[in-house]
Amino acid sequence: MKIFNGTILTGDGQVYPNGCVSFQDGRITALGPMRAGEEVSGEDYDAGGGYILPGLVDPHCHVGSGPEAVGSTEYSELYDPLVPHYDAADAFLPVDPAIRKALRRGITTVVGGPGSTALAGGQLAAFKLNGAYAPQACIKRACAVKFALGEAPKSAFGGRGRAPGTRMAAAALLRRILDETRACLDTGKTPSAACKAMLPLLEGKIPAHIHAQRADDIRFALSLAEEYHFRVVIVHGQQSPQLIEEMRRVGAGVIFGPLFFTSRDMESDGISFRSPEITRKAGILTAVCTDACPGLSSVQLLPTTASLLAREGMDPMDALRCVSLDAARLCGIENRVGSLAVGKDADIAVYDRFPLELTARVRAVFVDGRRAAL
Amino acid sequence: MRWIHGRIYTVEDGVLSDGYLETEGGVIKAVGPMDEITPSLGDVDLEGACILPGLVDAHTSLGLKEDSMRREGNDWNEHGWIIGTELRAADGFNPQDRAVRYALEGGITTVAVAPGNENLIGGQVALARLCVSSPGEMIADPFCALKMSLGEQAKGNGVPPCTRMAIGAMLRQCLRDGGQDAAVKAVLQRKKPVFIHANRCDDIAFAVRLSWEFGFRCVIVHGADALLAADLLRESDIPVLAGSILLTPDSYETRNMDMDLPAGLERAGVRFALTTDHHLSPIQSLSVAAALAVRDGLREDRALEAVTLEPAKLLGVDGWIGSLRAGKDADFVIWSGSPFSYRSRVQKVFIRGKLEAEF
Repeated sequence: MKIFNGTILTGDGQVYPNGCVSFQDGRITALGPMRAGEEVSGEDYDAGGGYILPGLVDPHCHVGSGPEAVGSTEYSELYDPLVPHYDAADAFLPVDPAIRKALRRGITTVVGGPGSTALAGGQLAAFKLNGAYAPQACIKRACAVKFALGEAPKSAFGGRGRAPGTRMAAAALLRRILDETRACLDTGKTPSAACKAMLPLLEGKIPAHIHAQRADDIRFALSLAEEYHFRVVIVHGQQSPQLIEEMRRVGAGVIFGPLFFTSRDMESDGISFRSPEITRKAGILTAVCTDACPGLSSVQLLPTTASLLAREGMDPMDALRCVSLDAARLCGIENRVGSLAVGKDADIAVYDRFPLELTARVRAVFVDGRRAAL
Repeated sequence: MRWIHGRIYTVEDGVLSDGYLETEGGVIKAVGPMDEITPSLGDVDLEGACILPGLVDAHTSLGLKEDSMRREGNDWNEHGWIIGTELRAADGFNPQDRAVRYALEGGITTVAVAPGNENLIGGQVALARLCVSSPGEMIADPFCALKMSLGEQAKGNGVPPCTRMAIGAMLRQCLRDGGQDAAVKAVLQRKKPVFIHANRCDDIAFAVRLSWEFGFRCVIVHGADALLAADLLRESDIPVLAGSILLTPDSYETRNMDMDLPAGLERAGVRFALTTDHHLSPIQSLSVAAALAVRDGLREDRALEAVTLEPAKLLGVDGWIGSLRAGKDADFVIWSGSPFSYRSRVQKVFIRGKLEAEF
């Protein structure tokens, strides 16, 4: 099958005016300019002169684990601050109304899972919005281990007389599990379930996604990564523009968001559509997320967030990368999603006009080569 | 002062593709197409930039629930005062709230500051004009509406009401006995409207019924289910202050809130304005909400009205703000381009002819 008669923005900088993308068995088989005499059939999709893009990737949100319009969520562990073995794939609801809304805005992959209450909250997973339950929807389990620093774990646990009630305790507890995991690596000791989930982190196979907003929390996250030699992605990262040098030294990435958000405390101060361009320009791998969950932020705002990055001065193509390829890279799923390339998944969104326009509508979305109901 | 060669969104008189705006003493003296005037040396050439009236958000917690603050900046819900008719948002409004600056950056010049949803009657809604150069004068009217709340938010906060039945009984009692209360009296005499927080269609229908019973003017705030009650709203000529359409529904009650609500209300012939419900979605995203409503089928001119003239009408101030017309206050904003384009930025904000912010 083919999608033709549209401007292809591949997501990694290539533009093909009047392009054509072909796919088969859920994978892209060819893409490029429409060749003279290229045949199309009634089964192929005419993009009508619009834009053809990779399905967008929200690198941090709670779609499926914090269903809309429901009182209960699955992302806030409150009884143990060290549960890195909890698996996001165990709490994904494919009938969350947010999923169809996400598809309607051209989003085809979300990375989500544990929230920010536990210090080591579990394993993030990448889900394809293909309507399936977790095993089939999940394109990668354990993309990253989720850590959280600052006020969120302090208030979730310390507020009820448990540890951590301070940043000191948060640090001590995180070091405790990191030390235990390292001991397992060094001595061959049989790891606990929690340590077992942490092994790939210390083996360099997956990064930690660390919820950190205040500069001191970000600095702590970076120092922990240096101390224990693991890869780190700062999530939220409001004050990360203050720490450019340190982030570069550690090789950290950053996922900003939610940006359509009013800061509710001193810690989350500094939300700005200008920050991603500061880190991106400094060579730090940068993406933006919606952090979508009920009452906080909407997944539908992902493309709109990219629009406002461009409004605040980011190059439009870079703004699109922040919600596609670079989002996928920070989650270790760029081999399958995030850009249009031969061999990658046929996750494709067709827009009626330049996709960063606030009024751009999604005409059609394909997930694994199948047209999604919008 | 005269601004020339601008694209002028007058709101009431269409868009002038090459127009001028002249102000004097804080008031708009004239607006029109360039061919009406001969440019002179003192004019400011906008070189095609856009002039819009200052945007209006008729339901916010600006200055009451302050940006980046917890308890120390939270004067939004007075817990325990179920019927807070004498509570005034104006008394809790902090003009130093940083979000005031964000509002100006979003091209907003006037907001209603409303108490929260957790009391049956939250208190008196204040009208604030965001003239940051004279913070003591920001409150233009300490009582432009009375805030009432229905549904889940208003019940079960540890005190009665625990059911919608109790909500009904308690509100009726308040309105029946309210003859001595200045705020209730103003409402019953139709001098001030009641802004009623209602999402579920039965709550909306109850609000309409209550307004009939007691003869007050009513505005539905939020209105997630407003399309399910569209006939009733249209026939009763009750407007909806819709939104925030940027939020994710977090309860059964709000499950129908989505970005296509404004276009639906337009098709159904229900009067409406848009709100960010700041702080729940950020005040500076009001124009973004309007653009996203256009994406889902609303006409551009109607979207612009929904963030200017319509909210001004709901607040009873359309006589002096909400559009660019001779005689109205010179509350206007210079944008680099169309407010519906992702590239456009607010450049200058004027309130009563005075430059209040420049970006």
